Order: sequence, then structure tokens, then C-alpha cells
Amino acid sequence: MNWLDHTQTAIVNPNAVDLDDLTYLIPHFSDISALRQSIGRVGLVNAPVVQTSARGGMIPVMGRRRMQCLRELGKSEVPVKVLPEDMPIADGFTLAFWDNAAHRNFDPAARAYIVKRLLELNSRETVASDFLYVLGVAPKGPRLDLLKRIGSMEFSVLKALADARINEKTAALLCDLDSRDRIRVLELMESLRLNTNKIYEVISWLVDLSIVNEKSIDELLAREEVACLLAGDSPLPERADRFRNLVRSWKFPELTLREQEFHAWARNIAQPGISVRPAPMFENPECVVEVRVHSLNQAESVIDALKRKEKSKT
Amino acid sequence: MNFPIREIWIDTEAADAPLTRKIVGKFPRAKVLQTDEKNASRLMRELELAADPFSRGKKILRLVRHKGVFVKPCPGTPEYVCCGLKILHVGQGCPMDCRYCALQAYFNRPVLELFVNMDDLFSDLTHYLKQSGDTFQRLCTGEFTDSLALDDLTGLAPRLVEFFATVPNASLEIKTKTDAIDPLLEVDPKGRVIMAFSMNAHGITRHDELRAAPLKKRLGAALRAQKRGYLSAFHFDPIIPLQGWYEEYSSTIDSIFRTVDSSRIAWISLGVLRFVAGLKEVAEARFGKIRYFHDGFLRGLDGKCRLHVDRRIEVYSRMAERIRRHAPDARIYLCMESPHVWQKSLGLDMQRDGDLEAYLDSAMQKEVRSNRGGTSCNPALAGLPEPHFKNF
Repeated sequence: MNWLDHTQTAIVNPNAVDLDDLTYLIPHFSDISALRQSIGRVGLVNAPVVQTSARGGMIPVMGRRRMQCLRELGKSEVPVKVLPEDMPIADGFTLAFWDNAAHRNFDPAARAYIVKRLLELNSRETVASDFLYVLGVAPKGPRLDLLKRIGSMEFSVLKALADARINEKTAALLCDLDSRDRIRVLELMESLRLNTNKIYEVISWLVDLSIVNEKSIDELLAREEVACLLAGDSPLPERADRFRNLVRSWKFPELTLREQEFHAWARNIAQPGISVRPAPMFENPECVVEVRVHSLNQAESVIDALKRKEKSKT
Repeated sequence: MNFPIREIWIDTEAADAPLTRKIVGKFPRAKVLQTDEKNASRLMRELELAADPFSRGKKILRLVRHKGVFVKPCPGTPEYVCCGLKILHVGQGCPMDCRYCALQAYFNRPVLELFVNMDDLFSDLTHYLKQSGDTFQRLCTGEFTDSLALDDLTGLAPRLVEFFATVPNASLEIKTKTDAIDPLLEVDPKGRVIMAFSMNAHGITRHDELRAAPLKKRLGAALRAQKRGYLSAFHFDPIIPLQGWYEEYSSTIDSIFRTVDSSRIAWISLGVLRFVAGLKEVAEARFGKIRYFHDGFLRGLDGKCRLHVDRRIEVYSRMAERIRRHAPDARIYLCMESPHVWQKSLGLDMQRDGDLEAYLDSAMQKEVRSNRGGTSCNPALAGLPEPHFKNF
């Protein structure tokens, strides 16, 4: 049904519209100030669309952010279109979806939230046939379920995803934690100013350790060595690096040990211009010896010396 | 085996095959759908939209004509030593449901597929073996599916045993987690067929190998097969070294040697859990958190997630030591490991694929030699050159 053909125009006070109501929310995590400035300068181009709620008030369907700006601009009378109370929620959400899809690209957080909401309001088949191609989401059940779980997280976590402070892989890890652990671990990562990839690494190691050792992340982070390290007065990047290395050593004890042994050995034989690299992950005893020289002649003499050495052995 | 098949999809090209009619007749209550290319892809899309396409797919049997080759090399893995096994491709997907199963991340079609053009399989196989000349070939049907889980539908395994019993330059390995070997007891393998069982720790078998036969039943089946003249093989793959692993795996090893004749074991393979990164995600989306996938996995030289080499060496050394307590000459091999790991854990110099191929081929050649002059050995074998032995 085309519900927009059944709207009535009205003038409302923006404060009378319940902007905390999330029924038709299509989240937008970016700053609202540019929109506010625009409305302040050129006025309201498109009237927001609202619905009379069963409780008697009005809830936003399209133009939630416009309404927020109008509030902030101190407007007391705003033209709106009012949708009938009996419009099904799924239809109203579809209107809100297309209104947004027409003029913006959805970030990963908005996409996850929308998928979650669409799955709550529609069958999987409808979601797949009518919406997913617009969102650029493959119509695969496990993928939809993952996005649904991501979309169910707190807005503070979704905002971090929208801002690319965390990536979707990190969000997928966080949605399996309980809310308290999730917020705590994210706050810790952000306080250490780790980059997106390192945040993923550290959180994935903590999650793994938590599962393998059957301990909560809170318990892992409560270890004394963590507290000492975080409370230290060394520069933040150094502390962040040491924290990451500590968690890495818990996760990969054998590798860390081999690295320490190797570096100790390499220090003993160190020569300027010569470096030795082990096989990746010490998978085998091979090493790569790299000799840095300043000219082809020098390179030739190094190779000659090696040849002589090899010859003398035989 | 009694697996719950709810739907049968029959491809147009498979509709007239006698095997199709036979299989459909075994499932009078299943929904049967005739599928052409168009509606098969629609059905597949609908299936993929399910929360767990694999669980649903394990109840759907798709009957198709296989258009590709039936004999293909095992995909193996780069950078590690592989055994040169050839896969006899009889179908794909498995009605059992092991939580660690690599196939979950390997196939893009979650349904069970059986090939109904068996005559093509045998002609392809004959052609392949003819082309191979004197080069010994080890073939196996249990790579993309369990060798026996759906065999009561096709009756293929006994036919293959009869075929391989007459072939001088090849052996067949039938690899399973079932105990459904009764039809195989009606045919004489003539020393050319290995009945292999996938083994694991009791705890893993109970919790992670859904719908598979319990270890005791697998071992009972191994014994019955041995008595009928089959060689045995046991595959510990994946070994999952969680806390207490040694006691658990030792218990399984001891059970093997308490049950079967160790002199009739062709080989025992060991492979610590390794997986493509995507598997963890797929498996956990289906089963929830799986503890062992969160162990200290690193990216190996082949890009797969592997435990640190020192830990793998320790596992292999201790498992091999336990096996050798029972059978000092047991032919133990490592699946997809490096020469370094071979040397450190088994003390064997296994530098390249050809070395491992010869090592395993020699197990079969030994069997052939011991049968020579008896009635069970094809005289054509007498002309075969000795394989390349490297102090095995």
C-alpha cells in the first residue's frame, strides 16, 4: 500500500515528536551540525513524516534528524506529514529505509542495524528480495544472522564501527561478549589508542584466551601484570605496545619463547649491515641472512667470500 | 546407515538413471523435486538463506550426473609434504556432522550430492589406471564425503572392492566414521583394499562427531574387516590437543591394538587440527563457541591456521611413541607436515612428496609381495617394478 498517499499535513512543535522512539530508526552516526546549519540557512526543504502513536503522541518516520535540528534551532512550528496510526510498522520502516537509501550510503553499523530491524519486521525471503541488494549484503543466512547480532549492540559500539575505530571483524567478536565486558574492553582499547587492526588483534586474542581458559575477559585483565603495565608512567604508545605484546605472549607462548631465544642469539652474532630472519612462525629451522652492501662490487666480494668458504668445506 | 533425508532433488540429466530410481525408492516419505539448472539454483539460494544451510542441507540429497573427471589428485597443501593420494570422486557432502569438519568451509553447496553415473566412474577409473602404467596408485573415496555413509543407497563400495581386487597397480582406501561395513564382507578384497577408520579421542568423538559411530563400533568393524582380508588403517586427524589430550588419545591407541591385529595395519596417519581461517566462523555460526578453535593457532606456510610447530612435534612424538609401544614397525605418517616436523617427531627423512608416496606405496607392495604365489594375488603384479624404497 502506498501510505504516502494517505498522509495529512499538519503543523507541530518539534518537541511534541518523541525522538527517543526507535520504531522507525535508521541510524545515522555522523555529526548533525552540517544539516542544522543548512536548515538554518536555507530552511526546511522536505517536511518530516511522522505517525500518530497509539499513546497519542507523534513518532518520527522520516526526517528524524531534520526534526532534531529544528528542535536545536528553537523552531516551535514545523510542517509535517502525518501517517495514519494503523500503518503497520514494517511498512513504516520500509518508507524510512527508502527515504535514507535515496540519499546516503550506509556505513557498516547502520547496515547491521537495518538488517537486524528488517529481520524483526519481515520474512527472510522478503528481506533478501526487497532490501539486501540495496544494502550490498549477500543473501546468505549466516551473514544475515551475524549482522543482526552486530546491529543489536549498544549504540556506543555501533558508533565506533561507523567511525571505523573498529572493523566489522572486531564488532563480530564484541557481539559475543556480555555488555559489560564489551564496553570495558572497547574503552580500554580506545584509551590505549591502538589502531583498528591492532584493536582487532588484541580483542581476538583476549576472546580466544577467555574461551580456552574458561575465564572472563574481566578476569584476564584483572591480572596484576596488566594493572602494573597500564599504570606505568611510560609514554602511551609504549604502554600500548607492551600491553599488546603481553596479551600476544599469553596467546602464543611457544612462539614468544622462540622469538626471545632467536633475538638473544641474533644479538650475539650481530654485524652491521647483516640481518638474520627466521622462517615464518619458526615453522622450520631455515633462516634468511640478508647482507646490505653499498655497491655491486661489494656484493660480488661478499659472494666470493661465501664461495671460498663453501669450497674450503668440501 | 539411517540418515534423515527429507528432500531429494533430481537433476534432469540424472532422472533416467537406474540408480536414481533405486535411491528414490528407499525414501518413500521424502519430498522429491525434479530440478533443472534454473530451479536448482533457486532452491540453492533459498537454502543458503537459512540460518544454518548446512544442517538443512544434510537432509537434502541431490542426485546428479558428474560431468568432470572421477579421479583427481588430493588437493593437499602447498609448502608441506603430501602423500600423493588420488581421490575417487563418488559424491560430496556427508550426512554426519563433525563440528571440526573442513568440508563446511570447502564446498559452496551445502547439500549431499551423489553421482548416479556409476558406469562413467568405472570407465574413467579404468582409463586412469591404464594411463598410469606401472606407477602404483593409491586411491581413496573418503575425501569429499564419508566412503560408506551413503553407500547403502548406491552399493558402490562392494563393486569398487571387486574392481580393485583385480587391479595390479592400485589400491583402494575406504575411509569412514561409520561401522556400516557388512556389504563389504561379502566380497574378497584380495589384499588390495584398505578399510580405514577415522579415530579420535573419546571426548571428541562423543561431542564433536555428530551421528558418527562410537569408537567401539568402528573398532569392531575394523576387526570384522580384517578377518575378511582387508588391511586396516587408522587416521587420527584432526588431533585436538586440549588439556588431557595425551591420556585421551592414548586410550584410543591402546583400544586399537587391543582389538585388531597390528600386523594387518597398513598405516596410521596423524594430523594435528589445521584449518582455513573461514572454518572457525562457519562452524561457530552453526554450533556456538568451539573451544579448540580458540587455541594458539598461527598462520602456517600454507596460509592455514596451525598450532606452533613445537607443539605439533610434541603431539606427534608422543602419539608415535605410544603407537610404537604396541607396534614398533607401525607405518606412521603425518598428513601435510614439513620435513622438519617429520624428522623431529618420527625421526624419518621425508623431504618431498615422492618420499612419502614411496613410503606408503611400500606398505601395499609389501602386502602384494607377501601374497605373491598365493591365490589372492593378481599374476600381473609380478611384472611390476619394485617401488623406490628409501630405507623404510
